[in-house]
Amino acid sequence: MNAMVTSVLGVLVEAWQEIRVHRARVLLSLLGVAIAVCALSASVAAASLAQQAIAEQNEVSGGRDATLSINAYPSDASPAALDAIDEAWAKSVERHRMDFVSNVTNTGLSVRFPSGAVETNVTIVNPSYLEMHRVRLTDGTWFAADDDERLVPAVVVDEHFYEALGSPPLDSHPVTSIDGDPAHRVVVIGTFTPPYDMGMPAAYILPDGAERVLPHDALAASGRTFEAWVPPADIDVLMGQLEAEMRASLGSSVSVDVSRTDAAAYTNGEDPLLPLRMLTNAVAVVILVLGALSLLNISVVTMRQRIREVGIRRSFGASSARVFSAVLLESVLGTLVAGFAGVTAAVLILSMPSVRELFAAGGLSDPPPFPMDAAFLGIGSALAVGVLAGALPATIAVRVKVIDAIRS
Amino acid sequence: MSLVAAEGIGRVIERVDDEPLTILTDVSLRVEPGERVSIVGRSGSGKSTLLNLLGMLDLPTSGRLEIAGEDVLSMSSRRRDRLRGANIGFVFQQFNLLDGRTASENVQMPLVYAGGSSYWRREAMADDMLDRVGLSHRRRSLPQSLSGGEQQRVAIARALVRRPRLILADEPTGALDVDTGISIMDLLDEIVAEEQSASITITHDPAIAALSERHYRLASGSLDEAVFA
Repeated sequence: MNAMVTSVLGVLVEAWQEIRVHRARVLLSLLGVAIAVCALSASVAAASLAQQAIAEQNEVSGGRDATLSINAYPSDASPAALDAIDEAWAKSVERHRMDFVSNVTNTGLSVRFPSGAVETNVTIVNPSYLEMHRVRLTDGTWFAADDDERLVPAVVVDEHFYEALGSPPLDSHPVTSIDGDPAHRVVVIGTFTPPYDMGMPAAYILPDGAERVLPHDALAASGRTFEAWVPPADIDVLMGQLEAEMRASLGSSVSVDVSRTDAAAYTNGEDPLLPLRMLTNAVAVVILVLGALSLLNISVVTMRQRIREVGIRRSFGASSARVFSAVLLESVLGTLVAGFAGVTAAVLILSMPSVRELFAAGGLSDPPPFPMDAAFLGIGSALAVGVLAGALPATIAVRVKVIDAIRS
Repeated sequence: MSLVAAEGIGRVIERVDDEPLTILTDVSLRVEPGERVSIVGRSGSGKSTLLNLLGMLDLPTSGRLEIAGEDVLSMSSRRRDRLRGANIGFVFQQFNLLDGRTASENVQMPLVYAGGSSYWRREAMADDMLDRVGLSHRRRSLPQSLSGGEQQRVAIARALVRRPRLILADEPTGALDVDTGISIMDLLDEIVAEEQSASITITHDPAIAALSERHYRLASGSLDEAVFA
């Protein structure tokens, strides 16, 4: 056991000494490997970040994996019919213990701004909508549980709405009116960036606030739309159960439609970035192969210059297996160091504020840490290059005759 | 049991477009523990080839060779490497120190292959051996900063650090001036005697050869006993 330990340590000592003695050559020869690993890791990580950005964009519009939507349209647009829909939905939410649910009913109304009344897109939501759709607040706050109790209903508005209002400080509790008879006031508590610029003001409002300020006709015409963010594994069963429950509860006078709205519903699990990912990976692999060939070339030439040293070591008891291991390990140690350097460089590049801003502009609001698969791929590639570039010179080292090596 | 027992060994090199080249024929030699043997001969007489055979760096094409009682021709390459590392120390004409390594690291090198306690104590053992050859103050020096005599003393320390039973010295004074050569041989003989090792010294210099107890002359591939006045 002791002999094995000292043998392994001896190989490491030899390999490290060789790297230390020839550090300038080793550094230069490994530069290509480090750059190649950096390119490979960075491209894989960038593709992951881009995929995350696309996923987030999809979640902003369609909800997270998995989001289902229930539309209920009563043939009789009376307040009682809408109340019945709300009651049936509340029962289903409780029965299936769904934590992330929201009313997502869209309607339009006329809001009075200093420049005049402007048609505005209003979405009735619950507080959970913020997380379900990654709403990006730019100022102020989102709805709190006690916002229902406000005397003046709260709204969260987009930039068009806010600018039309004159961009007042939010801590001054800016108020505007909604056309109607009588006109109702709402207070702006926050601003958000919409996923798509529809060219008209937009606002979110809580259901209770909507009941107080929106005309009944507008609410009845929109029916009710609810969303739930549920575990992906449950969604197919849940969709069937919810549709059946709502229909059974509401009867034939209400049209119920259940569908899935998140990205997985229309991508079928396919990766939209696959072609781009394959292209960048192919380029990175070509760079890696070139780096490996360059390292192999230098290693073979260097070994021919070091053959006398191999002969000397053999004459003092180094077995051919020992020489092979030392040369191979020397290459592997070097490329592993280069691999770590390359991955570190890739991490630093992708952490640069300018690069992060680039991804943020592409819709990435919740940047993940550097993907571990990209880091492992980089280190693994460096290891493979080390083994390949070390095996040939190691074979040359053990094939030469000891006396020829000493005389060389 | 003889430390070296060579019986009728020969070395013939096969050549592709020429007749086989006979370098050694029917060489017999026995060396006992603690003996000091010298072999003289002209350039091209086969001295170095014989030394390489005795050091198991090369194999004879005929005859029988035993080192420390083990048949060299029937053992595996790995076993030969181990036997060589444990029992034989080499001193080369051109010193053959490893570039870029300090004197101490050069002397430690054989101990890296020794394993066991020698591996863990290699630095102390190397420094002790450098002290014995009078170079403790140069243990951090690189070979290129040492004189020829100093380099050969480092090489002697390296050859002896594993306490081998046999030292094979191939023209150990060939690259040194006369005075330095004699002092190096005195040092080598002194330490070899202290360690109770045997030594076989190849040289073309009769004065160096005369320092040994038994002398041989190698001519035209044959080994004969020689007498020096």
